[in-house]
Amino acid sequence: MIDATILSVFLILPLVGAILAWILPERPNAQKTISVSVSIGLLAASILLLIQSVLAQKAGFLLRERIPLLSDWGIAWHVGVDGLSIAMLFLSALVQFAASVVAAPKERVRAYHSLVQLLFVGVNGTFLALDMVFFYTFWEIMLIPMFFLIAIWGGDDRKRAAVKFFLYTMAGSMGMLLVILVLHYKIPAEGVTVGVRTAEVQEQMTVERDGTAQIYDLAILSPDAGGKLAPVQASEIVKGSKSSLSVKILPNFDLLHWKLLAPYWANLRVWGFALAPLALGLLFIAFAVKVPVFPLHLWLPHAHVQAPTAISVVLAGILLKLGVYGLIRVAWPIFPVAALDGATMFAWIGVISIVWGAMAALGQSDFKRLVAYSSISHMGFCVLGLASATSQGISGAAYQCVSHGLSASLLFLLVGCLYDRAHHRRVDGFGGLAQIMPTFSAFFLFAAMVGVGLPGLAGFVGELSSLLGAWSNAATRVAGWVAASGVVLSAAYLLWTVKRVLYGPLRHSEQRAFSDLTITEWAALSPLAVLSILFGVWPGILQSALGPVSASLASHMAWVAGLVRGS
Amino acid sequence: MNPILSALIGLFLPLAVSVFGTFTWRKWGKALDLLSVGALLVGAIATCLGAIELGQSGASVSTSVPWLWFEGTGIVFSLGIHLDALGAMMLFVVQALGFLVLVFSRWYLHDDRFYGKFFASFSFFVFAMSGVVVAPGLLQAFICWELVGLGSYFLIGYWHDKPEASQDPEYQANKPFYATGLIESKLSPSSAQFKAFLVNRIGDFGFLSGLALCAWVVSTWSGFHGGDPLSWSTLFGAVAAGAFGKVTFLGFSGAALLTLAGLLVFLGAMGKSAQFPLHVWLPDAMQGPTTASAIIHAATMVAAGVFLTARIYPMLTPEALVAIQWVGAITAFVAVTIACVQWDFKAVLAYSTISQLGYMMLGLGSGAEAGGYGAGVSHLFTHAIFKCMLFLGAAAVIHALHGIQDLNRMGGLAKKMPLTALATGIGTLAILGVPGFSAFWSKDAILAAASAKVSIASVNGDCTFGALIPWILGLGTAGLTAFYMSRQWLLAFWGKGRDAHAVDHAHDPDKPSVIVLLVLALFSIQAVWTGSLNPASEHSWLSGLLATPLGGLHATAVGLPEELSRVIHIQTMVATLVLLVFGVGAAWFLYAFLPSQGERTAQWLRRDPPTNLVWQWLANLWFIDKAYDWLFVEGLGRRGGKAVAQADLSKCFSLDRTIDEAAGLTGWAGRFANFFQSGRSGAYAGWTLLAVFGALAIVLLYK
Repeated sequence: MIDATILSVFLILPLVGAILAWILPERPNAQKTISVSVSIGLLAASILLLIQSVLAQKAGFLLRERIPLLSDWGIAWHVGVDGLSIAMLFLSALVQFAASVVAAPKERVRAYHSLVQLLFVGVNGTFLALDMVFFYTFWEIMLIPMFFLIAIWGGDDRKRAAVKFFLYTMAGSMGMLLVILVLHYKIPAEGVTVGVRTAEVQEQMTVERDGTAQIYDLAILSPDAGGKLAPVQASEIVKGSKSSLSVKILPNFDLLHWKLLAPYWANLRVWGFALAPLALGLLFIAFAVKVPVFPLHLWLPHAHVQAPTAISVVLAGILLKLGVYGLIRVAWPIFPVAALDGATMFAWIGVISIVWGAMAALGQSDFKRLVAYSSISHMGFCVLGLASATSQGISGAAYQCVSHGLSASLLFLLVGCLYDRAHHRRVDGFGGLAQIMPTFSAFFLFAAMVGVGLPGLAGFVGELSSLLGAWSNAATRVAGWVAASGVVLSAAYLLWTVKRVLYGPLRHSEQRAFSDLTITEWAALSPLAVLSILFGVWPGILQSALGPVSASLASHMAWVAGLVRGS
Repeated sequence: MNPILSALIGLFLPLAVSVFGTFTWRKWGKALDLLSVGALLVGAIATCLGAIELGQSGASVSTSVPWLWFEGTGIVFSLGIHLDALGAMMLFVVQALGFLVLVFSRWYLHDDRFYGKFFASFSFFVFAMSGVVVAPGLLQAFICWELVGLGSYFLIGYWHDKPEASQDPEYQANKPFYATGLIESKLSPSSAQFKAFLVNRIGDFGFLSGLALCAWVVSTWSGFHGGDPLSWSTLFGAVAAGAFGKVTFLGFSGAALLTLAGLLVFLGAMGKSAQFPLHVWLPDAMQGPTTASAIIHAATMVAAGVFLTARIYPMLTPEALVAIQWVGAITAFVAVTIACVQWDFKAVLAYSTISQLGYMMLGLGSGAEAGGYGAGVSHLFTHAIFKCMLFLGAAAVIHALHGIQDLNRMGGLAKKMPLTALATGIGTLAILGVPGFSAFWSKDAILAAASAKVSIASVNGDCTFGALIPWILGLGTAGLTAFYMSRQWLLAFWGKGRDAHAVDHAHDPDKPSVIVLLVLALFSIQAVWTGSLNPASEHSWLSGLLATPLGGLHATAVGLPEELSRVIHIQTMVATLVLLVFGVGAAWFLYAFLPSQGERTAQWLRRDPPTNLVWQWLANLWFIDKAYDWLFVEGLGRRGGKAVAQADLSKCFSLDRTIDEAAGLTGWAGRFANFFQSGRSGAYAGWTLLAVFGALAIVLLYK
């Protein structure tokens, strides 16, 4: 078993990389080597974790570490990984690798590479954090490098795009901050005692030296003969002989404690208003901006068009996934009842994103903008799956994150290849490239097919699971039916693009001089392509990591809802 | 041979060849052809042996591995192999026809610039279709279904660098006035492949929804205890146990919900099997190599839809069957009328395929008790053989004429390429339904089934005039089929060459290809199928074999007394024979007799008058393609897309404007703050004093 210290690798490695890239003299190759080496290190670490997770197939945390920092305020350095965060860390490392390998800007190389590494400190930190203070901190850390990466190395309208990106995300995270503070202050100083499920305890339990059981660093209590709560022996929980279990939670920022408090939040009222729907709404907006969903998506096409290729890859490949991750990790577990109450609304938000994004993609003439809108459309499936709050739907959302990470990265890399050669991004400025660049064309068709959701490629599994999830919940069923039209629309805009760009006679004769893919482009593209096939042909690998986590969340939500609605 | 093993060979040998070929076809194209031909030969032999062993045991075999599962739900979707008599037979036909077509393609494409690519794509296509055939459940059927779509995408867009006809000045200068009826006037291969994929995706929308609906209903059914909810046995078990009666969706429940599920899946079949109104992709798919059309239109792709409909038969309610019957009848009729005015050799065959597929659906929709199931499936097999042969014959003709597909420039080819003319002639007789040839038996069975359905309804006392219409459309189609197929054969092979320059150097294909044609011709003769030349023989070994999987389904109408059933069959036979004579006679009169009566008549006849409204209506394909172009391509796609994109970009959303203004606001706030920080100490003192007094005032007032 690997120790939990491996988790700090995901933060320290890019941080060291950032410092090294900054202090070394400005030589593009030196900085690039650092970036690539860091990403390979992260890739190795995440593959190690992924193998562990696939073999373990457990819903709980594989590795977890909690060091109290400011005990008075209940702040602790609490990090941990389960199947979901491991899959995301893997995707993050993969995207970082692809983004580091492709051509980087030629000027201010030191700053560029440092900022990219810093960005990944934020990304990985968010995937690791289990304490809301750190979750929020990492979430915000991500913003600053991204802002500068767009604002300095972007296109002509880069400043406005960067400001827009920043303001949208900031406006969203303000709400998150408010929710975090309110929740913290709503835990009374003497603590709250809440009932917990035996199943959840069994999943997450650690055994103390004296034989008592603990979850999330909290003693598990059960009424003794005198009716007073007393610590329970681990063996009794394993046997399932205790009918009622409780934990007492003191004021803190711990995400997992807040998850256990879900029944408490659901009944809480603030100034006469029910807290949960309002707080969930704010959290949903904070995360939905990142996903992004209609109508909070307007920053994305702008940012993508202005960002340099590698940054577009990072943006689409991993940054958007943080929104979905936040919903799965924070919003849904803490406010399950409100999420289930709003299922129909959330599902329709997802469906509108699917359809609107696809229709907008149909009407684009700018290549990058087209791929950006396709991202909005594809990420809609994540929201749909999540809205259903079923095992299928949640794992579908997570799976779609990975598959879209692969397909969108591929597409942005390929658009970047074209831009490097033609120095423009107009879709109608190309035609018949299959004759000139056969390997490029094969990759492009492949990436489009991943996006289309062709079975046998990763995109299909996520879409299928999301749809099955949506159909399994009465509140999201009709939305799920409409969402299936996405399979037509995605084929329409992606294959139409394929047709216009790759096929037919060569439209611009000067493009005859275009070279096919270079070695570095190959190196960036092929891992993504291989994984798209692997995760499509054999979804069991990824599903072993994602499935248990999704099922556990779905059952948590159903249990809390039953508890709250029953009372 | 173990049937499972044979299926594995049939699946993975072509797949291996196609994967290998994808990476190597540019270098080793010339070696790839033998590799893929060999793979399919092995596959055909293996699946034949497997089918024989399965036929002897009479049972079905299946095996599967878990593929995708959802913790906590008990759902474990599996992939695997399920073989029964129907599947084993179909698998063998796919492999065997694939082998024959590839042998032919070696000659047909020998000097093509993408030579090796064809064999790689083709092998993939055969793999995907085999996957549909052996699917143990609805999910694998869908997965391989999509892969079939991908295979067709590759094959149709084979010559991907060809221009659109509208952008080809040379073509525009020389195009004949009747060009509306010519395939080559329409789309480039790359547009055709896009169109095929997209139209199929509309069907797949239905398939996917139907699949999700079934998965939901079955997995919440009390009899479901984990496993694959979409495997045939679980799904049909749930249907039989009334699982659909316990849930409601959009007001549908019970039989209505089951009908909805069946029709949603059938929508997928409508896409692949080119049923009206999703038939529009198929004629354009003619842009692929003709040998690709031979397999797409025979045993794969279009057959997949009919095969799927046969597979899901236990979940099709009577209401769903009525809809299927109507769809089939309308498809058959619409396509046959269009085929009558086509001047493109391949276009005639394309619409002929659509029309024959309509027949199969008409048969299936007539219901098992009317004998429709056996009839529809039998026609699937007989049609696969003779249509494959007709397309290969077309390939031979087009190759001999160096790419000319215009019937107007043919004629007299029988003397130049006698063996092709013979084989194609047998194929034409087969599709006509002439006694002694294969479709006589299977097509009559379909029409008899449609008629028997009406009889059953009248026996039950709920016969309406509307119920007669599918049967009438089917009969009309039979007559028109006789007309357009003999028209095609006469225009191409009969009389004198109208374009001497093109026709003079025509010759038969090389020996292996001719043998392929003749083998297929042999299998278009009825005796091979029924074991007897008796035209009324119904108890063929094929229908017997096919009847086993679903038990009690038979080509004869089991829902009627034997006497009545026999009468219906004889009536149908007489009716179709009369129509046949009229159809062939009309074609002979117009396209063989009159042209021999002088050049002027011939000239006038070849030019179907463009002013004729009926001709306009048919040559413009009932304006269906035009309407779709206007509604969906121009309207929804181009304009809708532009409108949405415009709306999104033009910041019509106040939110985006607010954010932009917020960015401005910070600047404004900065300037505001600047005002207080002028740097003059006097001003600072003043502001401080003001603040102190203000604070004092507030404290005093509110004390």
